[in-house]
Amino acid sequence: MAPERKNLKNIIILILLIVICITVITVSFRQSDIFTNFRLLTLDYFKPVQEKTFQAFAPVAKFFINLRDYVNLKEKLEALELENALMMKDYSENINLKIENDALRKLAGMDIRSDYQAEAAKVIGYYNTRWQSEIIINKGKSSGVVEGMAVVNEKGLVGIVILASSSTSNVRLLTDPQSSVGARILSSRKLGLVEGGSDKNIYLNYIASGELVFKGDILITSEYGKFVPAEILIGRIKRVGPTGQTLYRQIEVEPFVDFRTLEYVLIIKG
Amino acid sequence: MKILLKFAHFIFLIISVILQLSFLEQLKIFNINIDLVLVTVIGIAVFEGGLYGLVYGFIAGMLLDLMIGQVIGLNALLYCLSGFFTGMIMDAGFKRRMITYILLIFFFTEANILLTGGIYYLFNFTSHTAALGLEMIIKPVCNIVVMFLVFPLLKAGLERSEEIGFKYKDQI
Repeated sequence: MAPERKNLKNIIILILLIVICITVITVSFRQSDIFTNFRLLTLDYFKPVQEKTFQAFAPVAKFFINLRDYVNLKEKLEALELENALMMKDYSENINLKIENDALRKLAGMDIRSDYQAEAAKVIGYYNTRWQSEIIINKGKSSGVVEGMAVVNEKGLVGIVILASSSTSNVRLLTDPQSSVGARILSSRKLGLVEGGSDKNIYLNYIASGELVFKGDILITSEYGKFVPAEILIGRIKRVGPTGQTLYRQIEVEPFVDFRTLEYVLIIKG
Repeated sequence: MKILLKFAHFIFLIISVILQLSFLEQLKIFNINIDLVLVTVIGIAVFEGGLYGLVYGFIAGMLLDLMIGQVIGLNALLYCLSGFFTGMIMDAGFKRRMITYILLIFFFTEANILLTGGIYYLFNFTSHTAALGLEMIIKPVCNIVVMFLVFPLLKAGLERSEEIGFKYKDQI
């Protein structure tokens, strides 16, 4: 084939593919469901191989993650020991409070809060760019998972299910710039929204400028979520911005969950 | 033989998509990840030509978008453009040398970061300038390091095919 004809053929194919891409981008961004079925099929189709690959490479990934953590291991250990001592003290107090709370609820004729029904799942994929933070887990609609359900691990809230195929689900992490979860400050009971920022940090938004917020305050999920149950740990306040300049305070949150080392999670089914 | 090699490159591309999602996204330097798929697409375009770079780039990008993309079609667009223009640059007479490969990876990584940022900005996402600057410094370096692993693999198959083609040329 002559080089000119070959180039022309390439350019025609390029134009065709660009038109397809732009159409797909526009349609998908308008939240059309046309591509949902394709996405679900792709996720289900690649699940077995992805699960095996993730499993095979998990030790290597862990090794590199741990290598970075060794640098400040001593300070981390000291901080954890201190935190553990404080938590042990709180734990014994909490047991007494729970017994007292259950007794009072019984007296007042209210239901005693039961534990949530949860489904354990394994992380099989991870995608974390400046614009997006998601994981893929190996449970889907066939296990009763639906979009909107909260995903947690032993440390607290991980994210929300945004897409569920029959055997896998995509979970949007708290650090995703589009993530938004109703939250409450544990000490002051003030309500706000925990949202991901473009710098990969998470922020507590919509807390009025005049409100008193302290560094170290613990955040939990609010009771107003449709699927997300109340009182799940989110994180603690890391930095509070100055007051007076804006309508709301800028509050940075340090999540309890280490999103780099997620391996197993629980999907809260209600 | 050539068809077999193209098929092998296609399988390599699919494996790179799987590896990107299952492994490389976890290995981050300052929150910046290696783009194995982009490196593979550029490699295929260098060794197979622009048409294969274009089509394979589109397929890999679309697969990535369907599996985890926020804006479906964005990676497909970026990868197919990268594949096509790499092929064009190689057709313009650049030699298959290490410095050419390094410059290609550097240029297309930077272009991809800027284009992604631009498109997300058009879709009303906020951009963090410091994070963008850091990504523009670190990501090309990471991709160039990965290139030293990926390109020899893609090239090895090609050299073998050329060798066999030459050996039996007179008998065909």
